[in-house]
Amino acid sequence: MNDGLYGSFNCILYDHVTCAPALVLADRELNASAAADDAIARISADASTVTVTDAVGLSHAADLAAAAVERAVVRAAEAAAAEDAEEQCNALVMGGDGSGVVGGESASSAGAGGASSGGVGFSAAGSVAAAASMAGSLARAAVARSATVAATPSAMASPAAAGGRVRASVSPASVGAPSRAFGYAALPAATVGLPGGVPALGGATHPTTLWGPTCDSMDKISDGVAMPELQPGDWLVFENMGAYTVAGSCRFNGFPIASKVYLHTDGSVEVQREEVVE
Amino acid sequence: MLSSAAAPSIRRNARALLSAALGAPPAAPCGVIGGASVASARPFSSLAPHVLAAAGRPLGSTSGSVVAPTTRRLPAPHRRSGGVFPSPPAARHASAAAAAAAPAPLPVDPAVAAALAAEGAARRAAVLDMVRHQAPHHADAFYVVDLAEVAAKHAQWRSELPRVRPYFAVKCNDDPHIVATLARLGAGFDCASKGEMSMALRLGVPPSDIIFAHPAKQPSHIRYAREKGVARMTFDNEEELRKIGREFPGAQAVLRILTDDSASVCRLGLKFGAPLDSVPHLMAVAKEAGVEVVGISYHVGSGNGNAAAFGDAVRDARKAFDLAAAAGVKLRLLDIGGGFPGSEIGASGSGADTLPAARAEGGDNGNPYAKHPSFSAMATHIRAAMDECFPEGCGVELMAEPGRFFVKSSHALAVNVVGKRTTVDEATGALAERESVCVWGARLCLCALWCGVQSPPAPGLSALHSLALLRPRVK
Repeated sequence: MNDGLYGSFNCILYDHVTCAPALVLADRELNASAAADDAIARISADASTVTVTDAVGLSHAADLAAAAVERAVVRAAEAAAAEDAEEQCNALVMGGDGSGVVGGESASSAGAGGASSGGVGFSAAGSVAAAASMAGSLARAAVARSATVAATPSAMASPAAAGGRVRASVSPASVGAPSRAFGYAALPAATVGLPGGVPALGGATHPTTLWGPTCDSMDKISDGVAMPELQPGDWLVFENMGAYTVAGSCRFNGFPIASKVYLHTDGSVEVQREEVVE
Repeated sequence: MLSSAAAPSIRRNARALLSAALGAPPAAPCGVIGGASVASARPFSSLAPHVLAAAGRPLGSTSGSVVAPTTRRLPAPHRRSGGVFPSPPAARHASAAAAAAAPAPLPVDPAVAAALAAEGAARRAAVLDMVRHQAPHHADAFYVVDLAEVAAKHAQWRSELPRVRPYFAVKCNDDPHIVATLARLGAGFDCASKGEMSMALRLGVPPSDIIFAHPAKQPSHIRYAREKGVARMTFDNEEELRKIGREFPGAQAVLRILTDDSASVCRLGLKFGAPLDSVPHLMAVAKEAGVEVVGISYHVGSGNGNAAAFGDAVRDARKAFDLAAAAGVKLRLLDIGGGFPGSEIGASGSGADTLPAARAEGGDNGNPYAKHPSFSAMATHIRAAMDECFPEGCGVELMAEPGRFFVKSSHALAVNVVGKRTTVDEATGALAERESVCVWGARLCLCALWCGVQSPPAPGLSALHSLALLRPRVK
């Protein structure tokens, strides 16, 4: 799957050693995604603390928490009808050691949340969306270093953050809850064939074999990977699938080649569906 | 929709920030030295461009705001004395010695690294969000293709290998949007066939930005190249050279030599590449056939576990240049091929640049491919070897044919679970459940793969594992 013709020879085994999905999106939860979004907004706007523990899942938990921050801020921006989402923001980025300053004016380091080793502040003139993005990213980066981070996009034009602050702090503690709240369960990258499969992020897992859709038995994707119990309708997301994948696809068994959703560099989104021979 | 509206501005602004950090364009060396420590050590002209680029990032509109890197190092001095290009087997020893004294990687600016990491994380979040919002509208598998990720990889290339123009290997992913994106960024294209050339040309790529890089070409495709003015093409044997002479006498031929790919997962040398000792003969044949030979190319193999092999191949190419010169042919192009990883998944965290060294770091649980050298490690060896064998101002044009490097990380594939079977693991007793799930879109070319495999998999092994066993592994 990963590398088509080539990949069968080298990439699954070589740089596509991670052959298990990065995310599982449960069908039932996708259908309730609006509710999930609300939950996310609520979590962030209330400055609730999303806590995460589990050494293995730390960075993924950070992703989830950071995504929550981003979504909440973006939502706030929309609610406030932020006019100039494209305007370049003046940003100050404080590295973990406080030494890195990029393209910025003076701004305050976000120290809220106690033991903050990294933070980000954005000037009011900047794009709220960019602030959201950076806040989330830095939260991720910081948590990946096992640090505690407070991401504080300041002076937000947001009803939810009338005081000018939206805060999410992430600290080592428990992981199951946030992933459910966000509508998907996150899995750490799995290594094909490793004994023991993927470490679980809480909840029951089952050794799972993934197969392709053909009526051949040669399309096995991964074997014995510990995953949450899957149901028909669920979605699995595999990252790093750009090399020798589409290029080697075929219509064996009459299945169409996967369609594509493009995120263009100018920000536009284009959905291109493969024509299906009926 | 929330995310589709938000993602664009997230990416745009992250990029703006990144541009501010790097200067724009990111890797264009402009000769500004940001700190005194480097400038006082050597005159500017003797610094490799990547050092200039790293030490004195071009200061644009955000002048003064870029923090100087705290650790700056000059490239390690060349350690080889005497003849620059000793002949084998001494060369192998010399290069091994050079590799042992590892060349210096690029200095890392923590602020830039942080901005890059943040931007990458933001893009990843946007992609996963897009999957989440698109999924309910799809019945079949779909990809989310992040073209900004392709652009980011291009920036990374230019920062690590500023002297080497990348020619994207279209075979790796012939998506027109990807080709167009890379064309806008100034990349050239490695096309393997008429179809790939035609696609690039239709998108407005000038024929001079294309290399027809296939050592065994169909005559009709060579005629197409002639018709369209795609002059550069590779060869690795006498027959091919004569074929080119017949079909396209004005072609600019590039000789593909054989280099050491013994540490590679996919050993392309099994099929392609002329041994060095055939160079004089092939130069003579070229003259006879009326074909101009302009350069040397090679491919260290896909998934090469030894970063030093990338430097050694440059040294091998230098030998080919010298052999050609002795035969009266002055070459002017070096094509260092591909074989660069598309993501750092599995990359050695410590920068260990050989597979054994990376494996020795542990954590691979016996999977021989769980770790591999990073792109930076490879680029470090290439820069050092180029400074040594093809220094700035030597008049040789440098190019490469990266494929997966640009595109692997740009796609996320979402597949839908269509079936499920719960089985009982007889080996461990009735209680162990084992799920078997069928997903859309995960159809591969495994069928094509099996055609080349002689023996069936051993009982109890998955197809993938069997392959690992069947592929010869050298050292």
